[in-house]
Amino acid sequence: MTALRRRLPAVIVSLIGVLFLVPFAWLVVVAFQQHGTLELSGGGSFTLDHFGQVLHGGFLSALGNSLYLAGGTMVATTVIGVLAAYPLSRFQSRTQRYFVYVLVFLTGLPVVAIIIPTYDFFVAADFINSKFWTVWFMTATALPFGTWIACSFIDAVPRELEEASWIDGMSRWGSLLRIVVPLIVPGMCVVAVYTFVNAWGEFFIPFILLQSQNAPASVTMFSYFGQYNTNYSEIAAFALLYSLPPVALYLIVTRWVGQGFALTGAIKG
Amino acid sequence: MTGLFAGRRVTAITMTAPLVVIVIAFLGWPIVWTLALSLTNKAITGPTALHSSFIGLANYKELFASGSGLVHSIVLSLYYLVASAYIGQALFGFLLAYLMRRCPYPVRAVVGSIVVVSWLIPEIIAAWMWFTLLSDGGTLQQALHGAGVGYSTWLISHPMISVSLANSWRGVAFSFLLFSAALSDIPTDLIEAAQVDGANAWRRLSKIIVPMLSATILVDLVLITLGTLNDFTLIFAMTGGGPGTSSTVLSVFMYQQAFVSFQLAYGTAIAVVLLAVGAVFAVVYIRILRRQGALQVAR
Repeated sequence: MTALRRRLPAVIVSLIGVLFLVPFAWLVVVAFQQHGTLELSGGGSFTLDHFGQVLHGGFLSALGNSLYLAGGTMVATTVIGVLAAYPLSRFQSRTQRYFVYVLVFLTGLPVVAIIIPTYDFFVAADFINSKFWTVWFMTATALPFGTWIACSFIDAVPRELEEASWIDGMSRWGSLLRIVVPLIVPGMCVVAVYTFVNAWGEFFIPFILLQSQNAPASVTMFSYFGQYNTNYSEIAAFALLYSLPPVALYLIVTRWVGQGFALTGAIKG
Repeated sequence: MTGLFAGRRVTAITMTAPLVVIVIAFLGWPIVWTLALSLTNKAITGPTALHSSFIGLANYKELFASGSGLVHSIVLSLYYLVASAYIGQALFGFLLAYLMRRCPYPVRAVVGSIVVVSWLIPEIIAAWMWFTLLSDGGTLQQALHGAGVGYSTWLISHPMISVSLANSWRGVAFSFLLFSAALSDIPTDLIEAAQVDGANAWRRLSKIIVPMLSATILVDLVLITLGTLNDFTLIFAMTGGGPGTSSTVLSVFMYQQAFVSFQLAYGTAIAVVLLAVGAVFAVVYIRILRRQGALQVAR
């Protein structure tokens, strides 16, 4: 009886794990079938062909667009965020405190709610369907949170390390680049990966601002909803490949930076 | 000393300038413009697309009049919030984190990874997996058919349950990770001491663990509220807000008015409602963080 009670949590958690796998099952099985249908069985024999087909033509350019958007947003957010986080962390003043409040406030604001004027502005400025300008809008939405996390990483670098270099005549820029940045590389990776994963999966912004040949994988994927009697295997293979980068990046960063992804640490401040 | 101060100020301004410029251009300006547009009659096509005019609060009058669909959308958004965020993510995530502590390592590692992967994959893929799972002829229908139970797709008969299930599945990892980290911070001897004193599992949970986690619980609730109220992709992709308007939550309602009915200005009036709700919760979040001392960043 007691043995059963001790094992009960493991049994319940394992059952939950199995239930969580159910939505994945169809996608993974069908991606390796010849002619997948909505049903699990009857899609033909095992094949890897679809993964090859998906790496050509429209599929590949959609993934390329996703890479452009997510990569651009990642680089811009990390560089601009760390740069702004340095004075926010180091120079104490009332302005600095209000600045942090504004950042946290903006973190909570819904992107959905500002898409209409952004669309209006993009049309008027002829930015619509431009990947370059979409990256800047996505950067703006990622920056408040990115800067805030970067702040908490710079806080952890002892001031004394920098003070010695100032006595030797190094400027603030010098100590930021030569002393602080090398020490917060893991933190910068957290900001970068967090931003990349979000931007890679972003659907709403590119759905409104980008079309046809500039659309990323998320928007391409949307066009398959409600398309019946298609070859589901090809779409499933595409969906699997598109899902892979965020999972891989997360695994690499957690191995390197440590469990919990520092996400929880960042949110707690 | 003043020279040094002046140098510091110049450095601070130069370093924050890119952030300030981008945030004002792409966030600040659109927020102001949302408020401004909502007072006009601008449309995407037709005569008012190019020459819109100021119409005061007419959009808001129309929006708050009965039968506009606003109340219906608010009710659906609240349903989605309670069912998928509070029950499906926070409560379930907490239980999962709590049970997980008493599991052997392999179970923890495997189930933890499955839960986190559901959260990492792009939202549109999660939506597609649930869409095909619940579709007519999908895996769920097959499984139930095998068990002798009839099924007509929930996407049509129970759209809100469908999207809430999908969002719970997808989002539970966030609360789970937050609570797991907080639970591991509670000293084990504290709980063991209570056990020795004869406190049963329920009392240990309600008198020690939950009170010690109250700060984390609050932060989690605020963050998932913000995330869930503004969720668009999952519902839009799975049901399109339908059938009819039976899953038209606020964000989908806004999209339909602005980009499907082409009433751009009317859509921004709905966006102002979303912004106001977001602003209230953002302020609550700042107050919580301040009380916890998390915003005194600089030393």
